[in-house]
Amino acid sequence: MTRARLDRIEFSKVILNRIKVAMRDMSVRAFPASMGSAEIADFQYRAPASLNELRRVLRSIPRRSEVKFIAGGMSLIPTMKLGLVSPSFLIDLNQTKDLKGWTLEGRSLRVGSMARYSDILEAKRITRLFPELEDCISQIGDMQVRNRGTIGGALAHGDPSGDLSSCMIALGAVLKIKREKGSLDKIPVEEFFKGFFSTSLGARDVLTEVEVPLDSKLLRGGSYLKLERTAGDFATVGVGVSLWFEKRLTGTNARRIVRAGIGLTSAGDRPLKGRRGEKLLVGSPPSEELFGNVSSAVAEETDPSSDVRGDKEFKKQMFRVFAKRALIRSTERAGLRLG
Amino acid sequence: MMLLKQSRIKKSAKRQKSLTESSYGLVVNGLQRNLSHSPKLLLSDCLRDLLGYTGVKMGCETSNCGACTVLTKFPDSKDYRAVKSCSLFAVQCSGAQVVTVEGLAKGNDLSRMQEIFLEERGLQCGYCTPGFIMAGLGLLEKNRNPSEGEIRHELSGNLCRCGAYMGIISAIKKAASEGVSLQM
Repeated sequence: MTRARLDRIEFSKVILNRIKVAMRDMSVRAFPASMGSAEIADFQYRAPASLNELRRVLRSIPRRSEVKFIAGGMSLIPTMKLGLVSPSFLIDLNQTKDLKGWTLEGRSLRVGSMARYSDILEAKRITRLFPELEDCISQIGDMQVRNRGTIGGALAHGDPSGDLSSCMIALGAVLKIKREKGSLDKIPVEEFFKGFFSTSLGARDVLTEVEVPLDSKLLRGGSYLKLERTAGDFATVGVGVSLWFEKRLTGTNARRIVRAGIGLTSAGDRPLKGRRGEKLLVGSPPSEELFGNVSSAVAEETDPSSDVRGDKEFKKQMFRVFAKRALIRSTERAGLRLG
Repeated sequence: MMLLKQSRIKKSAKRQKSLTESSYGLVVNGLQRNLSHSPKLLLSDCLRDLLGYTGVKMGCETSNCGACTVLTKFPDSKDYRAVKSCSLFAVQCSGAQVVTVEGLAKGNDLSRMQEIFLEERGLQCGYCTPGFIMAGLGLLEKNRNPSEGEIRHELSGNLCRCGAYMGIISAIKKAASEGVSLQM
């Protein structure tokens, strides 16, 4: 046989093989129904109707069994499909009535952990008071995700690129956690995040409520800005800013910032609090120069990783730009102008 | 003896089944359905494979494309909301109402939303269409009169790989101007 002919045979073998592989792939795709739940390991399902029932359910599950709570499931279900999480018990909190709804009275906004994103977006009383929450939530996922995803689920997931987490850091939210032993803990949101997808929640602890403080004695404004590659993508960078100004002028002609919150998304291994920037803001009136310095401090404090959304230097630069824009927008929303 | 053994096997099989199966009821397109299956079955698979509503399309199965969008109304909520059925376990819909694209037409008469999609050419190959129609109706349930910007923003969770977006957007604008709702 000639060399050319041998090559041709070899070539057609390769092609045949490719076709075989392609056909095998196609035959898998021809039954997509089996694909969705194929990777999901078997689990037992419980849906307690109240926190009391939840306690009973948890007590009935052997200690060695892995338990996972499901809230909106917008992150958990895709993770389960990938086979990355395979609990033996899945406890659905969607029927747990004590965890739903929100109240806005006195000195705080209290949101049940099972309140959905869309519940908050549709509550004009909340979005008027906290424009940063509207900015933030309206940019999470897409409409279908916002109809299902929950406030508590987003926080408990502990995703460093979770928009809501950094917005809540800026707002100075406090989280209420029902520990397995029955005690109730209150912790500031920034202390809740312990590392990459890790929080201070034990496997059987439940996040029950998020409390956002309200201070009517102060003038306030806030915003959340997000840079995304495509609609509905995770943040390349995200910056939440909440500013509180003195309501009454004290002698001088500019209102000073009394309290400041900065939360940063995709800025490191966990949702980050921009402490350096916050420190610079408190006590000064808003000005172009101050905001320039603050945004540089913010960028310095971040430690984003280089990935498909951009390299580290680019992201740090974007944190600087977005922090400044968010500071300006928050000031304007308080009805003030830069000095 | 033999019989006793068999009944024991049956009993243990039954116990096994009760541990791994969930029984529940839900209403799909107005019909009460009582089901019993593994809790890991996704709503999309349940609707397509168990109940035969193949208008629920599987595109990405990773909650990106929106082809599997259906409307759901849970016992504790007043309104129908669009959700991606591939990202929900079917058992979670216990007691819920679910509407798929099959629930829209009355016999051979298309619903108004479906007609508008034809009039405005809001499709090319049609694979994404059920998802877009359900998402569009879901949007109108929330917001009777959305601006073009709001339509684009709220439908960003649905992908059309033919690129019929302009037709889709004008279809939903038209539906809004006619006051189309799920009941029409």
